Amino acid sequence: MTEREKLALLEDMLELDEGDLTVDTVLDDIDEYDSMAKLSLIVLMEDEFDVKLTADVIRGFETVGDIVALMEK
Amino acid sequence: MDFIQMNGKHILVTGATSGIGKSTAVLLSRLGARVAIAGRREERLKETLSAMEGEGHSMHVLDVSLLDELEGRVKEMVAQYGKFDGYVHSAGTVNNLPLKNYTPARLDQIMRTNFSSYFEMVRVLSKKGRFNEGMSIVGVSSISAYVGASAQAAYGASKAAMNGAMRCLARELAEKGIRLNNVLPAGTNTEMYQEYLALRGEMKGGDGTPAKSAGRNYLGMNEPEDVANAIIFLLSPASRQITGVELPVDGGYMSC
Repeated sequence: MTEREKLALLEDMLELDEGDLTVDTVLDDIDEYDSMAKLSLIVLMEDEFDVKLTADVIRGFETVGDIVALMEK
Repeated sequence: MDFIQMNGKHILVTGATSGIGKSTAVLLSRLGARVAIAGRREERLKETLSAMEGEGHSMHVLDVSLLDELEGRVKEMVAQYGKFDGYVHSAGTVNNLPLKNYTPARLDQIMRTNFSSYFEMVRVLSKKGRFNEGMSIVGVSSISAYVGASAQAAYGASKAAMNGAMRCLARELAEKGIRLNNVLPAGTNTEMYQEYLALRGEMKGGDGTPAKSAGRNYLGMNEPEDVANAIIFLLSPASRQITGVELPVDGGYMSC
């Protein structure tokens, strides 16, 4: 899966337009990245990448790139 | 708790690997019951068993979502360890899924694990020859059956389904002398619930300390033992005139 495809998964999850996200986008700057989105992220990562996220790991995310780095496929 | 008599009673507890189920199994053993503990994870079941007191207990690796296997497993338990005097349905899954993450298969899985398993266990345990007179069945439901919360739609629906079935079955099974009741805990201080709170950003300062109150439960958060105490009261003859009841164990949450 390419980096662009991974970003597209996150854009779809957050209901953003294609191209809205880059790996440098700061998560705190995304209005849609709220507690519900974090729950969706857990499901996405488990379903698509077999990665189980904990609250501590999620708290450590600063940029979109931090999430993309865990998307290994 | 001298008025609670559980000596020699044979009680099956599913979901006994952690939290409320584990706490109930341990307390039952201290009160003299013979407890059959069941759950998916063998290592965690062994931990529960080692925390229990007394003798005559048994351990069963069991996934309640495998509905077609339940009748055979219960028959084996009865054949080997005797009829049951009580059943605690504490098995279940807590899912925090926003609506857009659902698929029909995921919804089916939650309903099967939380509701259909309860229904099937009641069906197979209430057959002649599998229970002693006066059997009491306690389901671990949740205040989520009544209190709306984001990302809890299927969980709340599964617990509401348990309550609806329980009220009907209490009437249907009364002629066999079987009582059914559900406890409805609010958030309980378990490993799983602390993680849930952390995910929802409801922990104080993110330092791992659970908030005293996660919402309207003004007596504070339940400990698993608080729910276990209510379950054991409903299992015991002390509650012999109580059936078809949903008992909140919620620190006052439902009173607000």
